[in-house]
Parts: sequence; C-alpha cells; structure tokens
Amino acid sequence: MTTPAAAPAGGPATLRRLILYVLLFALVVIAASGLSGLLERLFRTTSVLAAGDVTGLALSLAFTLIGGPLALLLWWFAWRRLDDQAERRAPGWGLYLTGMYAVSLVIATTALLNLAASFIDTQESQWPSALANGVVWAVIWWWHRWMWKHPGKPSSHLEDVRAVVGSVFGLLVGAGAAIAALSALLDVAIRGFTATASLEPWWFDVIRSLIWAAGGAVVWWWHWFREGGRRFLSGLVDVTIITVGIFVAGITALGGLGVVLFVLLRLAFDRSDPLNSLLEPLAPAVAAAVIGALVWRYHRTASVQRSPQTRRGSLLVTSAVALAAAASGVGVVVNALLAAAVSPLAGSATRTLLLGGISSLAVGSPVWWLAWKPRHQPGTAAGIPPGRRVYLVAFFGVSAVVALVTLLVIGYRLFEFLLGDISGGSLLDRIRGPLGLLVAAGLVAGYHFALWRHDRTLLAAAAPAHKRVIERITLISGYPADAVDPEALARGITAATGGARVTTWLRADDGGTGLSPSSLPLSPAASPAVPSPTVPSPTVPSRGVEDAIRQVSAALEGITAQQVLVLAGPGSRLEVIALAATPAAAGPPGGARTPAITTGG
Amino acid sequence: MDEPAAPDRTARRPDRILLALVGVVVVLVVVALAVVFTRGGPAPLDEASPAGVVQRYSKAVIDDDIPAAESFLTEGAKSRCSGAYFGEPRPARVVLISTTERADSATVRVSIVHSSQGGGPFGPSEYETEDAFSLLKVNGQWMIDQPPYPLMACIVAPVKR
Repeated sequence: MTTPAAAPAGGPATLRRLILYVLLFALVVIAASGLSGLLERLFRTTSVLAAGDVTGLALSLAFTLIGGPLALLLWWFAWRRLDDQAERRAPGWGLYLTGMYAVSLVIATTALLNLAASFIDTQESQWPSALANGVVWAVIWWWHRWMWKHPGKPSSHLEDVRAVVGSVFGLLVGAGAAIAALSALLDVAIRGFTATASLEPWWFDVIRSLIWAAGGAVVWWWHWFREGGRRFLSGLVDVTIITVGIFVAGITALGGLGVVLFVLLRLAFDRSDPLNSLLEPLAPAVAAAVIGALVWRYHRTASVQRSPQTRRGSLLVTSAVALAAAASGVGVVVNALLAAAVSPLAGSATRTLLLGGISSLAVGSPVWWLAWKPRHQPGTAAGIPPGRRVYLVAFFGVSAVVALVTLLVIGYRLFEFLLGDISGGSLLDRIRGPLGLLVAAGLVAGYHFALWRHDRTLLAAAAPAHKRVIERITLISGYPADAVDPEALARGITAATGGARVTTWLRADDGGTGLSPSSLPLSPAASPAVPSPTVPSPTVPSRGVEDAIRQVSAALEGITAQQVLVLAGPGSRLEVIALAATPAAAGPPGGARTPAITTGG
Repeated sequence: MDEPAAPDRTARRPDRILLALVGVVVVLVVVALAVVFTRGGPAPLDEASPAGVVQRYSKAVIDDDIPAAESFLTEGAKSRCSGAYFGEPRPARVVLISTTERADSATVRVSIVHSSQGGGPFGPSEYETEDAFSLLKVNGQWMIDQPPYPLMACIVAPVKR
C-alpha cells in the first residue's frame, strides 16, 4: 500500500477533510439516487398509462435538485484544492476516491449486468430501473476514474486498493456466475430435463449466468491487467492473492471434488435415495471443482512469481485447507464407526455418513501430502522456512480449542447419562460427532506438536555458541540513514548475537557522509578500523543493512565480554570495543541528548 | 522444506509419528468400512412395548409409508393431524433415549438425527434434536397420541367421517 504523506497541518485540516469528504460522499449518493429515479420515470413514460406516485417523484426531484447542485459545488471546492500535492496525498481524499470508486463500480456493474440478463426472459423485461441505475452509476464511476488518473492531479494514494477491490469483485462475480452457468449446463447433461413443466427453455438460465460471468471477467481483467493490480508489489495484493485466489478458490475446488467423489461412492455402494436426488449435487460440484481449480491454479502461478513469502504463504494456506478437509474426514469416519455400533429405532444413514467422511479424507490428504511434503521436513535449522512455526503453532492451537469444546460436549452428555434415565445407546449416538472431532483434533495436534518440538530442538542445536555471552551492545551508527536503517541493523545484530540488547546511537558529528556500506569489500575480518576511500553506490538499502549486519557479527565473533561498544560506519569503519562489566557502565550514559533506539530481548 | 530429512535421530522422529498417524487413519477407515457394511438393519423391539410401537411408526414415516404409519395413531391424533411434515427431508435416524411407562400412558423420548445433503470439503453434517412421543393404551394396545413434529405423518383430509 502506498503510504500517505503526513498532512502539513495537523488536527483542523484532518477534521476539515473528514467533514468535506463525508459530505461529498453523501451528496453524490443522494444526487445519484435522485437522478436515477428521474431517469427511470423518463424511460417508463412510454408504457405507463396513468401515474399517481407523487411522493416518489417529489423525492427524486428533491434529491436531484438539492443534492445535485450541492454535490457539484462541494466537488468544485474540493477539486480546486486538489492542485496541492499534500491535499491529494491526504488519507481523506484517497479514502473518498476509493470508497466512491468501489461503490459506483459495484452498483453500475450489477445494474448493467442485470439489464443484460433481463432480456433473456420470456416475460417482459424490467429494464428501466436497471438502465437508469446503470447509466448514472457508470457515469459516476467514470468521473472518479478520471479524477484518479487525471494527468495534472493524479491521486496515487490507495490506488492499489482500488485496483484490488475491482479485481476481487470481478473475480468473485465472474467465478460465481461461471460455476452457476456450468452447473446448469451439466445438470441438464447429467440428469436430463427434471422439471415436468417449465416456463422457459433450459438454456435461458445458462445464458443469463454466462452474461454475469462475462461481465465479472471483464471487470476483473480491467483491474487486474489494465489498471495493473497484479503489478503492485504491496502486501495488500499478496494478501488478496492468498485469501481469495488460494484460500477461497481452494475451498471451492476441494469442496467440489469431495462432493463429486461422495456422489460416485454413493452411486456404487449406497443407493438409499432415488437416483435423481442422488445425482442432484453432482453438477454444481463438478462446476465448483473445475472453476475453483482454475482460479486456484492461476493464483498459485501468480504467487510463485512474486516474493518467496507469498509463495510460502500460498503453499501453507493450501496445506491448511487440505489438512482441515482430511482431518474432518477422519472425524466423520470415526463418527460413522460409532453410529454403526448403535442400534437405532429406525433409519440408519451410517453408510452415507461413512462415504462422506471417506471422500473428504480421500480428497484432502493427497493435496495436503503434496503441499506440506511430510516426508521432506527440514532436517537442519537453516532449512526451517519463515512462517512454518506460526503455521505449526496455529494448527496446534486451533486443534486444541476444538478438542476442548468437544470434550466439554462429551462431558455434558456423559453427566446427563449418569444423572438421568438415558439409554446407553443414545449416549453413544449423541457423543459420536464430538468424539470423531476429538480424535481428528488429537491426531492433528499430536503431529504438529511433534513437528514444533522437533524444530525447536533443531533451532536450539544450531544456535551460536556465544549466545547470551554478550548481554548488551552499544552501537554507534555512522551510516547514512537512507543506506542503512539503524533499527534494522540493531534488529539484525540482536538476532545474530542470540538476543543481545542493542542500544543504537546515531552519529551527529560527521553527519553521515553518504558512503554506502554495501560498497565495502566483503571481507568479514574488517574489525579494526581501516579508513579506506570508497565510492558511493546507490544500492538497495536492505543489501546495505545485510552487509553491515554480516560485518558487525563477524567482528563480534569471539568476543566474550558482557558489554560491547560497536562503532560502525561511515564507510568501512568498524570498531569493536569490549567493555568491563561495571555497574556504572550498565546503563546508557547520562545526560545524552541524542535519541537512542533500543532493541533486543 | 524441499531438502530431504537428515538421517540423524532427531530428524527421523517426526517421520515415525507420521507413520503411526497414517496407520491410525488407515485402521480407522478399514474398521469403519467393515463394521458399517456388515451391519444389518435396526434390531426390532417388542411390538407390545411403547418403544416397539414408536420404532415401527418411525420406520414407516422414514420409508414414507403413510397408511402404515397411520395405523399406529389414535383417533385423536389422526383428527388433530394437519398433514405430513413438509419442507425438510425426513430424519435420517431415530435413536431411543428413554421410555417412561405408566398404567394407561407412556412417554418415549427419542433423539432425531437429520443429515444435510451435499457435503463440501468438511464432509456431511448432521444435527440432532430431542423430542418425545406420547402414547396411550387403547384396547390393550399402545397407540401414539402425539408424535414429534418432524415425524408427523398422516393423510391431510381424512376420508373417515
């Protein structure tokens, strides 16, 4: 996300913007609703024989004639001020533009697609309302897009949010309608014409869904490719790819696959229902599996081309969804096993239950196996990727909560059985669900706890020998702040020394001469100060920090003092001074005026 | 996590846990398949007991055999009955909780399990409600006077006068 610049003035300017943009938003919505009401009336005049709705007309007139001019006036006032760069970069304007852009996009798209779909009907189309809404809101959308892209006053703040909102909306509409279209088509193919009498040909439904799917796809394509949603390297885009493209699409695909397998298994082993109702879920399930897999695959490929973190995140989310499916499958299998042990009064349905559990397990476990690779777990501390420990702890925690809740339910039923006159069969029948979940949660928790402990052992074994030897480091950084972020440097040193407390001081005497430490020769033994002329080179700051951290940690190698003073930068200057551990030296020097940053733990 | 696991002792441990867990899952599935597919229908209870009457009535309702179900209802129940229970599929199973038998009347508490169609990634879901049958002794025979709502079944307009 592009970060907003600090507003030049403080509170009053922010308050003014807040009021201005909230008012503008409300006025634009009011004027649009009035205008679309008037337009709708205009479109209807040809077909209306007698009109008597005075209140509706009065409301539309009031909204248009009062809201419209006021909205234009306020907009003109705001737009004039937007010549100022600071005003354009204020959060208020970005939020207003994003909010109105999203609202107008959603309403205009929905109305226009409704309009297009309403022509595929045997009854007379109700087009005036949809057309009026669509036209008015499309104009508002275009107007806000024009302001966003205005060559003289471009508003780049939150532009990734606008692109992401548009592409997510388009993707959801497009994929949902595509599933509906495919499902309607497949249903006719699989079950034939089930309706004994119908008002319209079967393909009307498919065409209507196809129109929605095409509209959604166009909106998605426009925001994802034309507006460059996929090119923003922001965290928001990564999170969107993972939540919508991987998580939601993964659940849809796995769910569809599970139901397909379930129906096939029931066809083979459990024909307790008539064939027609047995086959009913098959078409939507096939459609969901196909479209979900398509969307998932696209975003999986997209995430691989982005940062390694996004790739890792998408893999972990896939693995989590698949594991949840497989584990609940195990729970249902246990549930069915216990259900078979109870002799009910009537009915049975255990076979259906068991087949459902088996299909979840059969769909979830291979995907989990491929995404998590349980045979290729890291054998060294260096092989433990970031995010893995969070995943392990999260799964352990969630399954522990599930286990706790199911234990409470089981305990409640057990005490009810002991205290009242309840048959043992019904006790078992009522605890089989929670008991199945408990078994599944126990298996998941056990596995992830073992992995977590294993990782911890690896990390502890690999921790540097001088860990905890150095307790405090006073770092005096002479690097220019734009080349080496002192906070990142301090964090890196803390990590490299196994948790030493680092107090950072910034040099003020030579003013950070602008020599980038990344241009240093990469000799790790650069501990004594060797002033050498270096050439400033514009490099990525993170590389500079990495080099600086590497050099400082190399210089700290073998130091056994509890407290160390490090003079780092500018240029290749690096001096490490071991300090005697006297109580007086424990705290930062008194009377210092330079701000100090302390990190570590 | 693409590197192969190192062959030392600590790296091998989760592998053994994994094998054990996979074994547990496989055993569970096999046992469940064997038990579920070899199990017969519900064991019939004594027809002269309240639970036996409830069992036969419930079976008839689940099988949609309305005339057979009606034969277990008292005249009062038939006259009060406002038709079959529409809107939702019939319950998947009925489990006996308890029977309270008095001289002329009895109450049979049951747990009624509904299962939802479809499934999704997390398998089929079930929900369970508790309800009670009220029975009366009519001519020495237990008859159902008040069935629970999800197990209501009768012909809407009785042809009897």
